[in-house]
Amino acid sequence: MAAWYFDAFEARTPPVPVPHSAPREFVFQTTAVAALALGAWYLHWRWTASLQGAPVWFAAPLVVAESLAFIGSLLFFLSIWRNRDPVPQAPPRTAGEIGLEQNRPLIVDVFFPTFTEDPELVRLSIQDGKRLRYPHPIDLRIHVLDDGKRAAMKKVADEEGVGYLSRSSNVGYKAGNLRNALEQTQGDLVLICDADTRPFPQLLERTLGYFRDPEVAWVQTPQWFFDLQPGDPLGNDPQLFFDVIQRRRNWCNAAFCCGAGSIHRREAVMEAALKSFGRQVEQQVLESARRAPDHLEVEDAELRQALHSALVGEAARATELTPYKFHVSEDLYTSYLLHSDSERGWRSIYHPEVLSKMLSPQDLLAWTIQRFKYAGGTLDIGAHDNPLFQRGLSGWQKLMYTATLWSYFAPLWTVPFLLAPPIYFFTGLAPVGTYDAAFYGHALPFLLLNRLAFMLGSWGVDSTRGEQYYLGFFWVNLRAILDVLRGKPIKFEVTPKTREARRFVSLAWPHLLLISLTIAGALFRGVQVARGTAAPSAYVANVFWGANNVWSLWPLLLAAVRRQGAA
Amino acid sequence: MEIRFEERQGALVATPLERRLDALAAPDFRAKLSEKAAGRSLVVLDLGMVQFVDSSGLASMISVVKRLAPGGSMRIARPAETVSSLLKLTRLDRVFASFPDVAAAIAAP
Repeated sequence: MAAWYFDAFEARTPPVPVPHSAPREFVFQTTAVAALALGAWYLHWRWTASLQGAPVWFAAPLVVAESLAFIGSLLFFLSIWRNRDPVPQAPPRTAGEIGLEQNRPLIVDVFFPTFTEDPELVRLSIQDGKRLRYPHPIDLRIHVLDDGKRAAMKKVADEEGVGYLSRSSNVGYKAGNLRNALEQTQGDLVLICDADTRPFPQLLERTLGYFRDPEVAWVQTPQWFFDLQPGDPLGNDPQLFFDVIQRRRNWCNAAFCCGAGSIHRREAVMEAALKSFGRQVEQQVLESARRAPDHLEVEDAELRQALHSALVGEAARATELTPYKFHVSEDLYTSYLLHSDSERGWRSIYHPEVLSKMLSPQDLLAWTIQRFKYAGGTLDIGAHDNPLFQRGLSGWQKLMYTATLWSYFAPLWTVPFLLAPPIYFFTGLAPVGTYDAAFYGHALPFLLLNRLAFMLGSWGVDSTRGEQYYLGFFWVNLRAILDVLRGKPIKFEVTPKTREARRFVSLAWPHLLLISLTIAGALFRGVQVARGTAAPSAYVANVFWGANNVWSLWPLLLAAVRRQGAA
Repeated sequence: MEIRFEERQGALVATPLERRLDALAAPDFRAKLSEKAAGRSLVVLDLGMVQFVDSSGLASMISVVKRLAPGGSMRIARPAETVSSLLKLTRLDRVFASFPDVAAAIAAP
């Protein structure tokens, strides 16, 4: 039996969702309102009274950055405004109980898509899939979806007695792989896993009850990385995202699908795909007609009809039917389309209990690829299907998707925030007129209350690493923005699950540069302050600011130089 | 899924002999019809006996369309009311033109 680096963590148990507290929620909401009011007051002062005497090239970008960050805070607080957990339902006995017209046991497909992952690693997932239990008769069908077309993977599937599906091409990558599987399988519901997702035995019995509501299209469960190193040096822990952000979207039907650990109603996914296909065919026919309007003027009605049929047929042949959008963020995009279908009113459920375990990206390269995909994919959706203008979404759903999208514009404000202290240290110039009592009087109450509101809003979830990586992520995020702006395809790669035998300083040189500049600048300006040639108040403010920046950038640099296999 | 195939006036007429074309039937339906329909110019799907088609069934029809000859089309004869509704809901009524009987489907331009 193969030995794995995560063997030592097998006995770990997942975190329990933070219990909901109505009083705490009220205190959070009150604090958030106060923080936002103070923030608006601070920004008003910044724009109207703090810029005099400050160089425009420095002060203007910074005050714009602060304003954009404030919008980010506003969207974030609104997006975690309230928590209403879904009420679990009893597991359905038959297909009829989830709205199908047949009185037979449910058929559930379990998909393990894989490409390059070690077949023995996938075996562990399959074995846990086979342990899924259910209180009623159920037809459970496990399938390995191997885009790598590997004999070794097929052998493992055969040995484990589960289905093995592969295809001749890799079109659409993971989304295409899922489509191919959907075409060949029959489950009423589909549990989607990653190659390394290890479902817990109770996953189905805890979640299938939600499908009693015929409008529930999918149920997402939290993703739990059971192999995190002490201190989570790479900031991989997704608990803040799942237990706070996703969970607070239940009440307004805006929790989106994140792939692994989600259960889908086949009919919902297929119907949305058909509608999208129908729309695309219609658009293509219209475009063809615009490009070659002559055929519309053909006098013979039969010939005109025949030409039209041929156009429709060609468009249908050229259009892909995509149950999961062929997109780098296929899960988010598919959720977005299902939520937008106001004709059907599909619902999503976020079930807060951890019901599977999986592996985290193991080094900075894997982390970078994964985060780049998240950022590029989300920004690409924003560029082509802006949620603010998406028909069918409710106001709150628009806000939730916009909040997600906005968070990926963070470099617009984090980069100026990172650059400001070194600029001050080396030039002596400040982005505000003076660092006087008025500045501190306006800024500190806002910053403190903002911090407090964040703590209350994410109560019980350690967000320290997340906050550090929020700033440290600027470089990857910036590259994703530039790629989307230039219309470059977001390069799609399977997140590596094994460490690369190399160091990754090349991925973190901007962080090293910024840390060096900030520390060197602080020393340089410190000498001047000590000599009495520079004002201490501006220096103190920038030292605190710069220290926060260095604290945030440091873990990423450390992760870059961490040796392979190091704990 | 049992399907009866006939040749009529140069068209392939496929008649599923079951009441449901759903997720359970779709893989088999797709495989059988794709094989016969590959490269054809006109396929008429006689749904007279089919009372229920779901999205997976409809999706399997789309994959068959992709196997037809360039310029080829698949038409539907005798669709049940529910099938027509689903075609309309998904805007696929333009891809799959419907006719009251097989003869009309074959004769249409």
